[in-house]
Amino acid sequence: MKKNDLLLILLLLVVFSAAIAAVTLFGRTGETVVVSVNGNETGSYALSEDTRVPIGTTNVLVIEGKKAYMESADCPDQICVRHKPITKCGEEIICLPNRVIVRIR
Amino acid sequence: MKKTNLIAYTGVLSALAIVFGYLEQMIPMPVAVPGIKLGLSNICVLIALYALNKKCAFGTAVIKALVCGILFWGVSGMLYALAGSLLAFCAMALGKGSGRFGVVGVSVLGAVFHNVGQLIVLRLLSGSFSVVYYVSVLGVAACVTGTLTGIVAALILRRIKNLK
Repeated sequence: MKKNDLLLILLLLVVFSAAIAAVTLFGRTGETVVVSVNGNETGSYALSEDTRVPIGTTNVLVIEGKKAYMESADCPDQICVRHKPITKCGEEIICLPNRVIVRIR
Repeated sequence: MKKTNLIAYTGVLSALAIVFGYLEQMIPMPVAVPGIKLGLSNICVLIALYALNKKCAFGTAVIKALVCGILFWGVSGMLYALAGSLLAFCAMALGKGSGRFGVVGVSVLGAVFHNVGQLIVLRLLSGSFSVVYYVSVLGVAACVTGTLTGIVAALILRRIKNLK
Protein backbone atom coordinates (compact mmCIF):
# COMPACT_ATOMS: atom_id res chain seq x y z
CA MET A 1 0.00 0.00 0.00
CA LYS A 2 1.38 3.36 -0.97
CA LYS A 3 1.44 6.33 1.37
CA ASN A 4 -0.94 8.19 -0.92
CA ASP A 5 -3.46 5.36 -0.57
CA LEU A 6 -3.52 5.77 3.20
CA LEU A 7 -3.84 9.53 2.87
CA LEU A 8 -6.71 9.14 0.40
CA ILE A 9 -8.56 6.71 2.64
CA LEU A 10 -8.06 8.82 5.75
CA LEU A 11 -9.10 12.00 3.98
CA LEU A 12 -12.27 10.42 2.61
CA LEU A 13 -13.11 8.85 5.98
CA VAL A 14 -12.63 12.14 7.82
CA VAL A 15 -14.73 14.12 5.35
CA PHE A 16 -17.59 11.60 5.27
CA SER A 17 -17.57 10.99 9.03
CA ALA A 18 -17.63 14.72 9.68
CA ALA A 19 -20.67 15.08 7.44
CA ILE A 20 -22.48 12.22 9.19
CA ALA A 21 -21.55 13.58 12.60
CA ALA A 22 -22.80 17.01 11.60
CA VAL A 23 -26.19 15.61 10.64
CA THR A 24 -26.63 13.26 13.60
CA LEU A 25 -25.09 15.36 16.38
CA PHE A 26 -25.94 18.89 15.45
CA GLY A 27 -28.98 18.24 13.28
CA ARG A 28 -32.18 19.70 14.58
CA THR A 29 -34.96 17.30 15.33
CA GLY A 30 -37.24 17.64 12.36
CA GLU A 31 -40.90 18.51 12.37
CA THR A 32 -42.34 16.99 9.26
CA VAL A 33 -42.07 13.59 7.66
CA VAL A 34 -42.16 13.83 3.89
CA VAL A 35 -43.00 10.80 1.80
CA SER A 36 -42.23 10.59 -1.87
CA VAL A 37 -42.84 7.80 -4.33
CA ASN A 38 -41.20 7.74 -7.76
CA GLY A 39 -39.92 11.24 -7.16
CA ASN A 40 -43.36 12.70 -6.51
CA GLU A 41 -44.18 13.95 -3.06
CA THR A 42 -47.25 12.05 -1.93
CA GLY A 43 -47.73 13.52 1.51
CA SER A 44 -46.23 15.10 4.58
CA TYR A 45 -47.06 14.35 8.19
CA ALA A 46 -46.25 15.99 11.52
CA LEU A 47 -43.58 14.10 13.44
CA SER A 48 -45.33 14.92 16.71
CA GLU A 49 -48.53 13.09 15.84
CA ASP A 50 -48.56 9.33 16.14
CA THR A 51 -49.94 7.82 12.95
CA ARG A 52 -49.76 4.82 10.73
CA VAL A 53 -49.48 5.72 7.06
CA PRO A 54 -49.87 3.22 4.24
CA ILE A 55 -47.70 4.24 1.29
CA GLY A 56 -49.43 2.97 -1.81
CA THR A 57 -50.02 -0.73 -1.36
CA THR A 58 -46.39 -1.56 -0.83
CA ASN A 59 -45.09 0.06 2.36
CA VAL A 60 -46.42 1.06 5.77
CA LEU A 61 -44.83 3.96 7.61
CA VAL A 62 -45.32 4.49 11.34
CA ILE A 63 -44.79 7.73 13.21
CA GLU A 64 -44.56 7.13 16.91
CA GLY A 65 -43.06 9.13 19.77
CA LYS A 66 -41.40 11.68 17.42
CA LYS A 67 -39.75 8.92 15.44
CA ALA A 68 -40.58 7.58 12.01
CA TYR A 69 -39.89 4.08 10.83
CA MET A 70 -41.02 1.68 8.14
CA GLU A 71 -43.23 -0.98 9.64
CA SER A 72 -43.54 -3.20 6.61
CA ALA A 73 -42.65 -3.40 2.95
CA ASP A 74 -43.32 -6.01 0.31
CA CYS A 75 -39.83 -5.81 -1.15
CA PRO A 76 -37.44 -8.76 -0.93
CA ASP A 77 -34.52 -7.01 0.77
CA GLN A 78 -36.44 -5.46 3.72
CA ILE A 79 -33.65 -2.92 4.12
CA CYS A 80 -36.05 -0.08 4.84
CA VAL A 81 -37.79 -2.10 7.55
CA ARG A 82 -34.46 -2.81 9.26
CA HIS A 83 -33.43 0.84 9.05
CA LYS A 84 -33.25 2.59 12.41
CA PRO A 85 -36.06 5.05 13.21
CA ILE A 86 -35.31 8.56 11.95
CA THR A 87 -35.79 11.84 13.81
CA LYS A 88 -33.28 14.43 12.58
CA CYS A 89 -33.57 16.82 9.65
CA GLY A 90 -32.03 15.27 6.56
CA GLU A 91 -32.21 11.68 7.75
CA GLU A 92 -34.12 9.36 5.49
CA ILE A 93 -35.32 5.86 4.90
CA ILE A 94 -35.11 4.67 1.33
CA CYS A 95 -36.87 1.69 -0.16
CA LEU A 96 -35.11 1.24 -3.48
CA PRO A 97 -37.28 -1.56 -4.92
CA ASN A 98 -40.49 0.44 -4.40
CA ARG A 99 -38.81 3.80 -5.00
CA VAL A 100 -40.12 5.17 -1.73
CA ILE A 101 -38.20 7.86 0.11
CA VAL A 102 -39.23 8.93 3.63
CA ARG A 103 -37.45 12.02 4.76
CA ILE A 104 -37.46 14.30 7.78
CA ARG A 105 -37.66 18.00 7.15
CA MET B 1 -0.13 -10.51 -24.98
CA LYS B 2 -2.08 -11.65 -28.01
CA LYS B 3 -5.53 -10.27 -28.64
CA THR B 4 -7.13 -13.69 -28.29
CA ASN B 5 -5.53 -14.11 -24.86
CA LEU B 6 -6.85 -10.75 -23.76
CA ILE B 7 -10.36 -11.62 -24.90
CA ALA B 8 -10.20 -14.99 -23.15
CA TYR B 9 -8.94 -13.47 -19.90
CA THR B 10 -11.59 -10.77 -20.05
CA GLY B 11 -14.22 -13.48 -20.40
CA VAL B 12 -12.83 -15.46 -17.47
CA LEU B 13 -12.64 -12.38 -15.25
CA SER B 14 -16.17 -11.30 -16.22
CA ALA B 15 -17.50 -14.75 -15.38
CA LEU B 16 -15.71 -14.62 -12.04
CA ALA B 17 -17.12 -11.15 -11.40
CA ILE B 18 -20.65 -12.44 -12.00
CA VAL B 19 -20.08 -15.33 -9.57
CA PHE B 20 -18.79 -12.85 -6.97
CA GLY B 21 -21.89 -10.75 -7.58
CA TYR B 22 -24.01 -13.80 -6.84
CA LEU B 23 -22.08 -14.78 -3.72
CA GLU B 24 -22.36 -11.24 -2.47
CA GLN B 25 -26.14 -11.52 -2.37
CA MET B 26 -25.77 -14.16 0.33
CA ILE B 27 -23.60 -12.07 2.61
CA PRO B 28 -25.82 -10.01 4.90
CA MET B 29 -24.64 -6.48 5.56
CA PRO B 30 -24.65 -5.29 9.16
CA VAL B 31 -26.01 -1.85 8.25
CA ALA B 32 -29.48 -1.29 6.88
CA VAL B 33 -28.75 1.24 4.17
CA PRO B 34 -29.57 0.45 0.56
CA GLY B 35 -26.57 0.43 -1.73
CA ILE B 36 -24.00 -0.92 0.72
CA LYS B 37 -22.30 -4.06 -0.45
CA LEU B 38 -18.86 -5.61 -0.38
CA GLY B 39 -18.08 -5.07 -4.03
CA LEU B 40 -16.19 -8.32 -4.41
CA SER B 41 -16.67 -8.28 -8.15
CA ASN B 42 -14.63 -5.10 -8.32
CA ILE B 43 -11.61 -7.30 -7.56
CA CYS B 44 -11.99 -8.72 -11.07
CA VAL B 45 -12.14 -5.29 -12.65
CA LEU B 46 -9.04 -4.28 -10.70
CA ILE B 47 -7.19 -7.36 -11.86
CA ALA B 48 -8.24 -6.73 -15.45
CA LEU B 49 -7.04 -3.14 -15.13
CA TYR B 50 -3.64 -4.04 -13.73
CA ALA B 51 -2.83 -7.41 -15.28
CA LEU B 52 -4.46 -6.84 -18.69
CA ASN B 53 -5.33 -3.35 -19.93
CA LYS B 54 -7.93 -0.59 -19.75
CA LYS B 55 -10.09 -2.00 -22.55
CA CYS B 56 -10.37 -5.36 -20.83
CA ALA B 57 -11.19 -3.72 -17.51
CA PHE B 58 -13.90 -1.70 -19.24
CA GLY B 59 -15.32 -4.86 -20.79
CA THR B 60 -15.32 -6.67 -17.45
CA ALA B 61 -17.00 -3.73 -15.70
CA VAL B 62 -19.76 -3.44 -18.30
CA ILE B 63 -20.45 -7.18 -18.62
CA LYS B 64 -20.56 -7.64 -14.86
CA ALA B 65 -22.95 -4.72 -14.40
CA LEU B 66 -25.27 -5.80 -17.21
CA VAL B 67 -25.45 -9.47 -16.26
CA CYS B 68 -25.52 -9.04 -12.47
CA GLY B 69 -28.01 -6.20 -12.76
CA ILE B 70 -30.43 -8.16 -14.94
CA LEU B 71 -29.99 -11.37 -12.93
CA PHE B 72 -30.36 -10.01 -9.41
CA TRP B 73 -32.08 -6.64 -9.42
CA GLY B 74 -34.14 -6.32 -12.62
CA VAL B 75 -33.92 -3.54 -15.18
CA SER B 76 -33.87 -0.55 -12.81
CA GLY B 77 -31.28 -2.39 -10.73
CA MET B 78 -29.23 -2.81 -13.86
CA LEU B 79 -29.26 0.96 -14.37
CA TYR B 80 -27.82 1.45 -10.89
CA ALA B 81 -25.19 -1.22 -11.47
CA LEU B 82 -24.24 0.12 -14.87
CA ALA B 83 -23.94 3.74 -13.78
CA GLY B 84 -21.94 2.70 -10.74
CA SER B 85 -19.68 0.41 -12.71
CA LEU B 86 -18.94 2.91 -15.46
CA LEU B 87 -18.13 5.74 -13.09
CA ALA B 88 -16.06 3.43 -10.92
CA PHE B 89 -14.14 2.28 -13.99
CA CYS B 90 -13.43 5.87 -15.06
CA ALA B 91 -12.25 6.76 -11.56
CA MET B 92 -10.03 3.70 -11.34
CA ALA B 93 -8.56 4.19 -14.81
CA LEU B 94 -7.76 7.82 -13.99
CA GLY B 95 -6.48 6.91 -10.54
CA LYS B 96 -4.16 4.29 -11.97
CA GLY B 97 -3.14 6.58 -14.83
CA SER B 98 -2.15 9.35 -12.44
CA GLY B 99 0.46 7.00 -10.97
CA ARG B 100 -0.08 8.43 -7.52
CA PHE B 101 -2.03 5.56 -6.03
CA GLY B 102 -1.43 1.89 -5.43
CA VAL B 103 -3.98 -0.87 -5.96
CA VAL B 104 -5.72 -0.15 -2.65
CA GLY B 105 -6.12 3.55 -3.35
CA VAL B 106 -7.46 2.86 -6.83
CA SER B 107 -9.88 0.34 -5.33
CA VAL B 108 -11.17 2.88 -2.81
CA LEU B 109 -11.62 5.43 -5.61
CA GLY B 110 -13.60 2.83 -7.53
CA ALA B 111 -15.79 2.00 -4.54
CA VAL B 112 -16.57 5.64 -3.76
CA PHE B 113 -17.37 6.51 -7.36
CA HIS B 114 -19.48 3.38 -7.74
CA ASN B 115 -21.72 4.89 -5.10
CA VAL B 116 -21.65 8.28 -6.76
CA GLY B 117 -22.85 6.69 -9.99
CA GLN B 118 -25.65 4.89 -8.19
CA LEU B 119 -26.70 8.08 -6.43
CA ILE B 120 -26.91 9.92 -9.74
CA VAL B 121 -29.31 7.25 -11.02
CA LEU B 122 -31.25 7.36 -7.74
CA ARG B 123 -31.50 11.11 -8.14
CA LEU B 124 -32.81 10.70 -11.70
CA LEU B 125 -35.26 7.89 -10.87
CA SER B 126 -36.56 8.86 -7.46
CA GLY B 127 -36.12 12.60 -7.26
CA SER B 128 -34.87 14.44 -4.27
CA PHE B 129 -32.93 13.02 -1.36
CA SER B 130 -30.59 14.63 1.11
CA VAL B 131 -27.34 14.21 -0.73
CA VAL B 132 -24.92 15.07 2.06
CA TYR B 133 -26.12 12.48 4.53
CA TYR B 134 -26.58 9.66 2.07
CA VAL B 135 -23.33 10.25 0.20
CA SER B 136 -21.47 10.27 3.51
CA VAL B 137 -22.99 7.05 4.84
CA LEU B 138 -22.25 5.29 1.58
CA GLY B 139 -18.85 6.97 1.43
CA VAL B 140 -17.70 5.59 4.77
CA ALA B 141 -18.89 2.15 3.75
CA ALA B 142 -17.08 2.50 0.41
CA CYS B 143 -13.81 3.38 2.16
CA VAL B 144 -14.01 0.23 4.26
CA THR B 145 -15.11 -2.17 1.51
CA GLY B 146 -12.84 -0.53 -1.07
CA THR B 147 -9.82 -0.99 1.19
CA LEU B 148 -10.68 -4.63 1.85
CA THR B 149 -11.24 -5.54 -1.79
CA GLY B 150 -8.17 -3.50 -2.75
CA ILE B 151 -6.00 -5.50 -0.36
CA VAL B 152 -7.37 -8.75 -1.76
CA ALA B 153 -6.76 -7.57 -5.32
CA ALA B 154 -3.20 -6.52 -4.45
CA LEU B 155 -2.51 -9.93 -2.92
CA ILE B 156 -3.84 -11.69 -6.00
CA LEU B 157 -1.97 -9.43 -8.43
CA ARG B 158 1.32 -10.19 -6.70
CA ARG B 159 0.75 -13.88 -7.35
CA ILE B 160 -0.40 -13.80 -10.97
CA LYS B 161 2.53 -11.95 -12.48
CA ASN B 162 2.94 -14.76 -15.00
CA LEU B 163 -0.35 -13.67 -16.58
CA LYS B 164 1.66 -10.98 -18.31
